[in-house]
Amino acid sequence: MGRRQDFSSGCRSAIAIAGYAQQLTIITSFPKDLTEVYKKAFESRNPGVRVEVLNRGTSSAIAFVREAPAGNRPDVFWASAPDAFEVLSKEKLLEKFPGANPAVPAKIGNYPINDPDGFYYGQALAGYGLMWNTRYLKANKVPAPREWADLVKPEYFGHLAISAPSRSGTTHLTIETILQGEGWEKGWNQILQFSGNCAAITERSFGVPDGVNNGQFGIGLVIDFFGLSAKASGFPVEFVYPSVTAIVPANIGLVSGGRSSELGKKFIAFALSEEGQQLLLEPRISRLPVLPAVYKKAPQGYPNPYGGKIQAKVQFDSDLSRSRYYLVNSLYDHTIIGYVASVIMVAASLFALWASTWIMRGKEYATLQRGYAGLSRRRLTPGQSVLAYAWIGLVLLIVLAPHLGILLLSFASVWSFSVVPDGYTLSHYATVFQDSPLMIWNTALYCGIAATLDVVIATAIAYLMLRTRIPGRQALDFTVTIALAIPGVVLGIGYLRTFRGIEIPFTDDLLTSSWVLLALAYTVRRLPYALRSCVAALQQLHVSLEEAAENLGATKGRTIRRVVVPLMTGGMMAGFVISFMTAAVELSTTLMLVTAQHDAPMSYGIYLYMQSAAGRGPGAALGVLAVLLVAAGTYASYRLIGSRGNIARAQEIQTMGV
Amino acid sequence: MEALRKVKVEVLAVSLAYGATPVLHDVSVSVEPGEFFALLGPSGSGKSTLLRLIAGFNQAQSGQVLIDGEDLSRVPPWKRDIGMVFQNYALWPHMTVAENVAFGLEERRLPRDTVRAKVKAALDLVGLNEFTARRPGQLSGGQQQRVALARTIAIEPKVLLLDEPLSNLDAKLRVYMRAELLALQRKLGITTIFVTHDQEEALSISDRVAVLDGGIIQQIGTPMDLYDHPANRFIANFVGTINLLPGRVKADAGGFRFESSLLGKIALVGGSGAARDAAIAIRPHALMLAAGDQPRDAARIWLDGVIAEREFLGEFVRYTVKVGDTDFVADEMHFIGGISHVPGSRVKVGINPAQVKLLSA
Repeated sequence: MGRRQDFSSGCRSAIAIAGYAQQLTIITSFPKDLTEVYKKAFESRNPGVRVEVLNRGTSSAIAFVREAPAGNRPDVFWASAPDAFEVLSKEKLLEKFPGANPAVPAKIGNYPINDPDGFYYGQALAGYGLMWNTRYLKANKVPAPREWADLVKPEYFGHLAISAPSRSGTTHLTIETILQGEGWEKGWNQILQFSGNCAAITERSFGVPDGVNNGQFGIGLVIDFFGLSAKASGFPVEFVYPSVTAIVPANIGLVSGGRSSELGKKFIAFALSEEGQQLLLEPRISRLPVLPAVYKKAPQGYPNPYGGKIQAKVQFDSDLSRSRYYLVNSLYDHTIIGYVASVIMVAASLFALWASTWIMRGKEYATLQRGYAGLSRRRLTPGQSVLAYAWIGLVLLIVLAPHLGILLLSFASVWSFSVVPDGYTLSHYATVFQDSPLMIWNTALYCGIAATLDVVIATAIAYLMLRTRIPGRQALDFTVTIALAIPGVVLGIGYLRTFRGIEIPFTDDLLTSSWVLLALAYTVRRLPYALRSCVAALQQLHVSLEEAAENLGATKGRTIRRVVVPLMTGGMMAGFVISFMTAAVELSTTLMLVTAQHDAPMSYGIYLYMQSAAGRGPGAALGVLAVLLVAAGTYASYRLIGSRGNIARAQEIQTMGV
Repeated sequence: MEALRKVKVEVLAVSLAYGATPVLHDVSVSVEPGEFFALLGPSGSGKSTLLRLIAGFNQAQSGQVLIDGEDLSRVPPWKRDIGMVFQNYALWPHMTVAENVAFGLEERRLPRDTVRAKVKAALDLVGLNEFTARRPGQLSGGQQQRVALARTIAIEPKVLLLDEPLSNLDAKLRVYMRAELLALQRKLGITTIFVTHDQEEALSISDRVAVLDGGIIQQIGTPMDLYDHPANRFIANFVGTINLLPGRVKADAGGFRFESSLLGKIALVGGSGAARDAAIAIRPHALMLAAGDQPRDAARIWLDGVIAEREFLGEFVRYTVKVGDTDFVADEMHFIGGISHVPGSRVKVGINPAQVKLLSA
């Protein structure tokens, strides 16, 4: 918890005096398994330097760099997609510097490894191929595939998985590779046929290896390191490069206007050096180095794109790929995913909406309980009891099944295509407690602040709306509810832009690089939930309860304190719990606004872990801790507010019919 | 509990509107110290609004409210020292009976011991001392009402306001509680204003009644005044049951007369002004029914009618008698072995001119 204190500038400068002033910030789309290794290696070679890694999806990483003011940007941009670097260099957000390692060849096949304009460098190579779950194939008696062409066979029907190329840049490259390798006609023919054999077309590229790892799918079309690292992490999977494949570089570049450009250059040089390249061979990373010399140190059987094991037939033409990018994606979406399905879905949901409006017509107040006395309870016969418990058990099983799965996953060593895991371990929890105790505290702190503010604000707004005639009180409700309609990413960008360059009073810290902004964003995002809850609670309070208090000599303030708030307790607490829980799992805003790892909450941690095969266990463990935290928060608020004995009576208030 | 100081309540020329909707129009009421005063009217008549105005929950556009001679128009509810019992009792479900009753005393920052003593006294007064630790949800409707009453009188207010206090109780309990209310009020001597739409309730326990309709005071008087001398047709109809006969008032050589096609001419005592449309009102029990061969009182005017309907109400039998196109309601006392008229039979309806009340149209 000690880090928490460096929120104040005093502590920051104290640290600076101690020689901890240098911080390097890297923004990347790569999983934690990879970045953590580089962070540790670089820090140990450069004492006094702290590496801050911001893990983002590629597009949100671009947005983050765009929104940050010059002088306060990350120093290094590190991601797969060359398109991302093109966008950044066009917007003059990349800085050219002579940092290439001369030992790296100019091209891999036909593809230039480094940017010809010199804005970014290839740091690793990636090829596309097939990954499969050996247990799954054995159980289903399906032979292991070798080539794309194998996948069109009928015996693979229902066993494949692929991600949509319009959603995943790597899948787009795979499709493009097949088209370039087999030709337009034959390529589409093949793609259409094996897509027909797919059990699923996932929305995120990691969904494919994840599904193959746990045995949901048999075979997946993936980028090589997904397969290689999963195998290295102990999953029963294999990976193969088909002969029709292409090798393309993943890149690294220096961001212009970063905080410490010199360190950035140093890091890029390190990543391209023999030492840095060698790190890619770590089993959990399993990527192909760009430096040919490193392959000598690779374990036996490690794929080598430089004339080694991979016979990459396709000379990838990136200009051709870029020129027909949208055409290929929309052809795939239209012919294979089928927009007809989405039209039907829209029609169905419109019909459902209309039907519910029609059925609920004139029944608006049906749920407002106004009657007298409680419901009578019936005694069940033994037979009925058995039935009732069976029903309850079934519902609990269905509702809790995913939670049980997560719990089991958090203790599992490897869990793939089997009812229970292969073995059990506590190491995931050890990892989590070692890596991220701060995250647990951060989540409790931010969500606690957000939920408390939400309830206070929501109670005030509910009172203004229902008990006063202040003009604009309805607009207040509307304004609060707007937060629901705005995607978290957009809200995040809005915050970054609005508070750009604004410092927290009495400190030298920028608001945009502080956790305060995160707590604030949670507050705004979750306010609508708290508001609905508080409004409902106040609506159920008959105004005469307040008038009676005033009549007996209590001022408005005293009335709120002694009558309104105690009787709203149930609703306020429900609002608190809902705000807290949903803020704890809020991801989109979090990804946008987290600017330092030690300020990151658990949702961010789970996201990072879940991006790699080795991270699934710790991710699940962190998830279990998140559930426990929310439960603890709920219980604490129950005890805190409930100590005055008000909660048990919440029901009574409603049944009394006052 | 000691008897309280009796104060006067005056409402002077009060008008009140919600937006464009007028609710009270030029209302003036004066309630004497210690009086049990009823505000009677149909729903929407403005009676509750008037009560809430006195309590301070409404603001009048014009006019004044004086309590004990002091203008309270700008005083907030919590400083008025007026106790109000709400129609739904408005007990706080999160407090026990004792906590409910102690609330007002605590708000007055009285010492703990005093609060405890006064809570006990108030609960003794309503006979609920064994329920102090219960919560409102655990009490019956009647008990809840007593708690509400105890809570209000515990602060020893200058004036007691009761908003439809008996409407949530069943019929038997209502009759019992209204006697209890009156006994309590007499014991404390507190000036009490109570709102009701039930004319029987208003007439039976009030010293005086103000009848409201459409936001206007129609008449103020003792229950007997209202019954015997209704000021207008609305009062005549609303307070008790009555027969109304339209006609015209005319002056001639012998004084004023009321003329109608059914009754012919009736001489009026006194009277003034020009000829005008008017109506006469007769209570059902003031009519007399006679079968064809019975001897008849010559002082009455007798009309020919046919019994249309008969309702047996215990103490009396209520007949609807058709005379031409006009329906008369006539009551006859009932005794064991008394005769009754059968629907369809021909009767004579006897009207005593001395029991007739002339109303302007």
